[in-house]
Amino acid sequence: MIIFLQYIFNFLLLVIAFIGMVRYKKLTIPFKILAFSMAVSFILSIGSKIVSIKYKNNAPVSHLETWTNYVFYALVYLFLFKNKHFKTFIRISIFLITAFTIFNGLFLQPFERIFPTNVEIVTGILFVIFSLILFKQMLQYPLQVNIIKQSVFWFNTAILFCYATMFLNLALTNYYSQHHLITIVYYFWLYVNMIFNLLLLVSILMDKKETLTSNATL
Amino acid sequence: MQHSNAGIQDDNIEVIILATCFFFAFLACSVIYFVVLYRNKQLKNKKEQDEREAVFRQELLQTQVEVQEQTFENVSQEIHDNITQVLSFVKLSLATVNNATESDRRLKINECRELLANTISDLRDLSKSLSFEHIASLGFAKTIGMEVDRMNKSDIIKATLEINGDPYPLGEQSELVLFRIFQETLNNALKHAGAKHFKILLEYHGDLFILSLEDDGAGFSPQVPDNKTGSGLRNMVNRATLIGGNATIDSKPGEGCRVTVKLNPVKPQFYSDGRPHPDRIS
Repeated sequence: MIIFLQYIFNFLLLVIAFIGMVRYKKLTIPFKILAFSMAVSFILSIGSKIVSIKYKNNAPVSHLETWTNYVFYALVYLFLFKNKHFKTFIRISIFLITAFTIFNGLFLQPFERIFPTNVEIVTGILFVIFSLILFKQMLQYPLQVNIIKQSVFWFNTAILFCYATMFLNLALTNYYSQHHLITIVYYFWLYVNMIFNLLLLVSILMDKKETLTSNATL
Repeated sequence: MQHSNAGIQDDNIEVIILATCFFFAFLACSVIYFVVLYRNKQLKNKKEQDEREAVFRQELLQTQVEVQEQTFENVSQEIHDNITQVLSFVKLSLATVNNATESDRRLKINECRELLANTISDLRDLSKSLSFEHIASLGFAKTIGMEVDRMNKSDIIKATLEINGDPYPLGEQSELVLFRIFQETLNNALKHAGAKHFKILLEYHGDLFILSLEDDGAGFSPQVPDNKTGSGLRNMVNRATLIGGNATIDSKPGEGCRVTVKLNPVKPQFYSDGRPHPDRIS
């Protein structure tokens, strides 16, 4: 069952990456980055599967995946935010997270053995904050376009949903591992990721260059 | 003992399921609350924008009426001071033709014919200036050129026009407002300042248009202009803002007055809330 779900998940990533590439020219800069990140996610997901089959351990890919996710989503936020201070903070945070990922991989949670939960927690907190700030920005500068048709809304909802749920997942992990029910966590996280990627797909489908001037500024 | 442990585990699972459900319900409610809040904000903004648009339209309509009133006044004055005088002269001249010699008669008839031709030309110019569509069809620079010719012909004031750069369209509504500012400044120079010279400078740069109007009249202290001049000046500044421009008025008693309007024709012009207005030039 779990293998079947993994295939579905990878197929979903492939479909989103394909749609992202097909719509690439029609997308605004932040959603071009998002579309590109989906292609990278698909490649890393496949890579992770191959590595886990071959070496029975996909922790190194997981380190790389956590870092690339942060860089790509932070870049999307960089283009979506209007406030210069937030933009500067994101630029600096990319370097800090990169440094922290390397430090964590070398000294705290070795690349080859342990999953980078430290980095995930930090980036998770940052993403929840970013999404709340972006929701606030949307309220400050509302467009006359139905919110359901705004790519920014779907992207931000996806990020808030995924990274807020991550904390719940981490909280549950402890309990389930104690009761030898860790597969439940895996299922739970797989479903959350599927919903997350579906929301990103909606944002890629909704995005049009015309909305760039009002919502996303360089 | 085993039964008791199972009971604790069941209780824990119930708590976890409840917590998970609560978490997702909270997340969903937050997003729904945001959507409702956003919708309310959209409606509020739409209402405010509609109100601003209504004010803009009303102001534009008022500008059109004022341009028309001023034009009618100019036409009336032109007919009274120039055309009526010339036609009366022609009438008198023709009345004396019967008693004149053949050569004098021919001379007078030729003179009358020339005067009538000039009058026809003046009437044609006047008929053109009666509608403000000529601003759109001729363009702002040419319209101002025509006004300068009219002023110089009438000898009321000595006007000069200087154009820097290649004139380009500024948008119908912007040109109408600029023309009204020109009329208002000229009116002030003639009626209140008693100016003898009026200098107009149009500067067409790539991303900036500047209209400078300068007279050598009595001038005034910008802090204490009389009521009529004051409201006229305020109108000028407000209207320049409406088309996304910026008007400045420099004057000192005895040193004339200079009105400068700066407008970025490339940059989309916005209402005060940042929304582009319909007259933007792409």
